[in-house]
Amino acid sequence: MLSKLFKYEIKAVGRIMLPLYGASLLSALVLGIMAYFNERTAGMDVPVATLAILFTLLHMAIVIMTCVLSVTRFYNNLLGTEGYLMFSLPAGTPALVGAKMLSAVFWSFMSVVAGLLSTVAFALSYGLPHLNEETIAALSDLFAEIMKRLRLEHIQGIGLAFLFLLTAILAAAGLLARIYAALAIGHQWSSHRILGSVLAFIGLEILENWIRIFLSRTGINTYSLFLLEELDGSTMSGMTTTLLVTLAVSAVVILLYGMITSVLLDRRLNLE
Amino acid sequence: MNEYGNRTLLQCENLTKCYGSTTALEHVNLALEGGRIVGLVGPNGSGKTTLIKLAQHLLTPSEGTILVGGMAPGRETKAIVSYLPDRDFLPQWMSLADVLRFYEDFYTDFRRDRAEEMLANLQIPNRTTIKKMSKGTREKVQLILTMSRDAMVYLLDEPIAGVDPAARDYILRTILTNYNPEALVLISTHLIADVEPVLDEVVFLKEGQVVLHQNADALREETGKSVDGYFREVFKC
Amino acid sequence: MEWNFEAGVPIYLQLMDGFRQAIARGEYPPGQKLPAVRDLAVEAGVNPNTMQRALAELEREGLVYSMRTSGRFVTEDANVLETLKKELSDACFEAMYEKLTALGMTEIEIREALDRWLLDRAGI
Repeated sequence: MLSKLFKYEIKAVGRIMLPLYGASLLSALVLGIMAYFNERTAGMDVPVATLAILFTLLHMAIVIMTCVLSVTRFYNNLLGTEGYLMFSLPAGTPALVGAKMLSAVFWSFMSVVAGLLSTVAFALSYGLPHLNEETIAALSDLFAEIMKRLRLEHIQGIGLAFLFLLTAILAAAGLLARIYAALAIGHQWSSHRILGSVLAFIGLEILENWIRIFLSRTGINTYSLFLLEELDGSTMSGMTTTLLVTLAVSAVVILLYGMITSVLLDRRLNLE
Repeated sequence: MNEYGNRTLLQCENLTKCYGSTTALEHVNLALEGGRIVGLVGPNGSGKTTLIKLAQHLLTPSEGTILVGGMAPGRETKAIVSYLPDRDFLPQWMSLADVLRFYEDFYTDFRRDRAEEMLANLQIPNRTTIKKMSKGTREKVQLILTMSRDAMVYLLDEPIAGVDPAARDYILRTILTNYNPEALVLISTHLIADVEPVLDEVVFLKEGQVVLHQNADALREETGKSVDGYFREVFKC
Repeated sequence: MEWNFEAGVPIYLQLMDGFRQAIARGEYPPGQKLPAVRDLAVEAGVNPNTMQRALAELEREGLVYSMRTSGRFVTEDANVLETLKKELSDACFEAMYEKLTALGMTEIEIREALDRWLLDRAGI
């Protein structure tokens, strides 16, 4: 059931995000080509600048829409009138909440990938026409040089970078899980539910910090990402451990908020 | 009769629901059997929607119990209950084709061919989104989807509120033609005259309490009035 | 058949009346197979259980009979049909009689009036 719900969630968000990705990719390509020609024939400054602004705006739109949809999909689809449909499906509440969470993580990742891809697309469309024997030779020299100098640590470094990305995404998911929990708590108000949710969010923030402070006094440090010196963050293995600990903490936080949300929506649902 | 016919499919014991200080349902005891079309009637605010939402686990009881097919409302009961809410509930962006796939994916008892046959009469192109449909069309589509499931319990919340007589006949005919004969059909309404001929039983709700639960024809015989006429008398202001 | 239900009379009784009339009129001729209960119910816009009850009662009266596998049929028994017609016409006369006596007419006057009315109607 979770996979079916996830599939529909992907579809519902994809119908907005995919065109944005497409537009950003297209604008990157056109921008690259125009920038290339602008170097040879002057007088295209204005269109190039316009396109550059569009390119930037599209990237901002991707970031904003990813965040906004992560919240509104939960709010409208579960707590709005569509909730009548969703809560009538033969699915458990944890699956309904989990699908939203997984989809948000998936699309955050996709947005990062789309941003990177459109940057690559710009580089290629601008750079490829520059290719000639000379530049190709220079590039292959550079590549050979890189390969020669590449050592184990570098590969580990790349792995670490991915781990860092994963940690960042999970930390964001932790924040999202708190937002969902806050919306579920705000849903308990009979009116002014949004205000209730905002207050609940602030309350959860304070509570979460109290718990973290309390835990750190007993020797369990949940802020490890920001207190690298304790684990000697200067070494690769120290850094990895730090990230893994942070990852685990985020996972626990997500799980806790997910449980709060599921229980509240299961036992105390009251659609308007 | 098979396993569901004449079996109690909806049972309430001492069922109470409060919202804060207001009580929507008060100590309701009710047993409804399969193979019946039951009218849940009462003025606005008498607790009809609350009872239906409790049966579908969209609300949880403050006190007492409610069982659907012998089970507490939840994931298992939702698989055998086909519910028509009293408002638009389909995502606006979905096309008719999307919605059909959605129902097919999530409900194993959904009969797509039956839905398509009924939809063909409405002549809506498959790519039309819910948003673009007129209110009347949307209501019919929602009813068709609900009735295209081979469910054990149908919960229809105000299916004929605010529709013209032609649409009302269409809706009642759709219900009569498609419901599973062993199933329980519960129709809530405040317009009894319109649904009276299709009912086996009526349940009168007044201020959150069941004031009457009887066979419709027996009621007509006893009171010498239509159910609607009797209803007006009971709920006279 | 067109159906309009009166308030205060059980629907199955009204359905039975409707079928009696239809059979007497020949709308459902002797030996004719009746449509399925569900189809009849949908056509009349009534609950299938109510329709079932009406037909069961008609069966008890001998107006229809059912074959285990092939469905329900209108009776072919001439006596039963004869009695049905007589009952229906008696009911009409009964109603007319009551109205006319309420106007103060005697039985002889009624008989004379009926003869005159039949002649008038025929245009003689």
